Amino acid sequence: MVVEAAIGIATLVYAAVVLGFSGRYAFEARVFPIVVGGAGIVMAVIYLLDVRRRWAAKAEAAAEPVAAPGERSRLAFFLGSTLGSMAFVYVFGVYAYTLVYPALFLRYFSGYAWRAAVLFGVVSFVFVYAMFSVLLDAPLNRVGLVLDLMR
Amino acid sequence: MLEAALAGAIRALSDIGIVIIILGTLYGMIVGILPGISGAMGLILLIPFTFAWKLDHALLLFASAWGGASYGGAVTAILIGVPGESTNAMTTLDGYPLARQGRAGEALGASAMATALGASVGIFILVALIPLLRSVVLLFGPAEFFGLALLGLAVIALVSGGSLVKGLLSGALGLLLGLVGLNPVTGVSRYDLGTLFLQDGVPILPVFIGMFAFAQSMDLILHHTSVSEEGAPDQPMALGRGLWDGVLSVFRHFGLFLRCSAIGTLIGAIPGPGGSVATFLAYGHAISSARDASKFGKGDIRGVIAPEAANDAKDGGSLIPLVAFGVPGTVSAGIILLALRYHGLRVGPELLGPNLPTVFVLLTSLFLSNWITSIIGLATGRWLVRLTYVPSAIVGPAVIVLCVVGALANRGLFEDVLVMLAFGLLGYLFMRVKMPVVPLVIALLLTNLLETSFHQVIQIGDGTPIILFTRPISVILLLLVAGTVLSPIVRHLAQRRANRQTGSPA
Repeated sequence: MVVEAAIGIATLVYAAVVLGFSGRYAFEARVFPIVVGGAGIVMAVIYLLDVRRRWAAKAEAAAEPVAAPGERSRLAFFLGSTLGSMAFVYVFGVYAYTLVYPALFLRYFSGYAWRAAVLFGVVSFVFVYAMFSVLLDAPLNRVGLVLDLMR
Repeated sequence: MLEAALAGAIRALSDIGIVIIILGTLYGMIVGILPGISGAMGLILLIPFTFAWKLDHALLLFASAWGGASYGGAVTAILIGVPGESTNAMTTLDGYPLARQGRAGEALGASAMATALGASVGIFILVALIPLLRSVVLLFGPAEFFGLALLGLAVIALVSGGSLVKGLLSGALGLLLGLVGLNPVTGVSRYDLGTLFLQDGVPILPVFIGMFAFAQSMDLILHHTSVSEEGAPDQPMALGRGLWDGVLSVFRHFGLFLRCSAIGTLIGAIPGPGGSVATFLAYGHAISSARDASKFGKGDIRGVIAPEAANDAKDGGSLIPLVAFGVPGTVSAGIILLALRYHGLRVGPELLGPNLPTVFVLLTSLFLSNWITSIIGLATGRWLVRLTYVPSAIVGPAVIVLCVVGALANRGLFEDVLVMLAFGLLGYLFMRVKMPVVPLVIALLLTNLLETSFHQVIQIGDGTPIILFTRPISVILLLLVAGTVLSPIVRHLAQRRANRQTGSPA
């Protein structure tokens, strides 16, 4: 319910911003945003009222089941590892990412042995490198601070 | 038109075309077989690999993967009782019981023939309608295109996720996001936060990759372990005999097959409903039209023929609004639209004119891939189905890697990866609260068309949208939009009144 409300509020705020900033543009450029922004606000309000109605109905019924004990920690671990891997891509580039991320994921998230994890990482790297750098001649080396320093 | 068809077919089969079709079909089959990986996700992940390809080769690959995914899901539905795609869910009802009775071969044979023939029927109907569509398209002006795009969005919002309110909010959010970047009318950049990156608008491919592929693999990683732990058998069912019997059963029930193919084509042609609705309606029709329906749900071959015919006929149908009007009716058609745009092709009425051979390249590939997938599926299904036992711990991170690579491959911008990640997380949240994703992405695709048409309407109407309400086709389309949006509300109010009158709780 909290997530639903957050989505509705975010849409409402965004639609209001679109509507509010539309005045900066010439008539031809602001007419459609005004229509869409207005419609967005109306839809967001209807949605939030619907969320409130369902929230009230659920409060009268049984309480929402609490998330399973391990679920939140798995989600937190996954999100943390994903954000960390984005930083890794930014610094070391995507080829290194295709080698390291699958291996570490298989080892620490899924509990596989190191040998299987490293093999998985190597297969992933070889596949991506072969596809893009060799077969398609479209290397993915434009991102990566370390790669920039090496150039 | 015959010249265009021949030109398209020759283009499709020249060079390495047939090799691409076979490879694309195999890829689609594998994607269809793997649970947790949807056909749409498989198509989206292909796009980055085709940036440097010729348009024809890219179209061949997408169409063949699309065709392959439909049948791949049926193989798992029959052999292990788990549909590889949501559109194969109805096939499970009779396909798996048949397999448990030792008639898996018969079910697979029927499914393979219904797939190949059903797709052929859908494509044939599309081809037969092209001359009519060319005439109809000439009647469509900006007001009609605006109305049609709006109708497509409204129907998709209604049928995508069960709740109209959620669907409309998702669509509204997609339209709001589509406003970012260069205005198609004046060229002024809007809502770009002063960044160069957003001047081209929210990048659509990373959004697609994020909302479909990343979100689904995140859900797979966090909530699923393997197929075998979800109640499926440890081993797929043995094929048994009867492969040929299954193939011939489609001809024994040819009337049913044709009617279900027609249902699939019709539903596919309507923006929104998609394969699940088509197969459900076809299955329902098979039951209601049967003299003896007692075996449905317990192993009736008609329960396999009907949904499979509809599922594959809908592909040809879903190309009708895309080819004629540039309005995608399903996610897969939307991905084809995206791929065409990336390769510089404008969709809409031009596709029925000078670019008609390109349409036939697509149709040739779709036609051949459905036959190839049926043949390969019959020959190798028993072994390919073992892919379903690949743990999600391996499939999940592999898909995530492909998501990052795919987001980066187009422009080499790290910002695209961040957009993919942001929308991936949003897509996951949408999944958890059962908010449909399809209206958002379709709205994002249609925003330019809607705004351009709307501006033209305003210009023609001397500053007012009056022609929206004076042109007959536009009026009909807007009435349909109103009906689509209001009908659930009216039904709900009528239900409440009826409950109050009978004294039962709402």
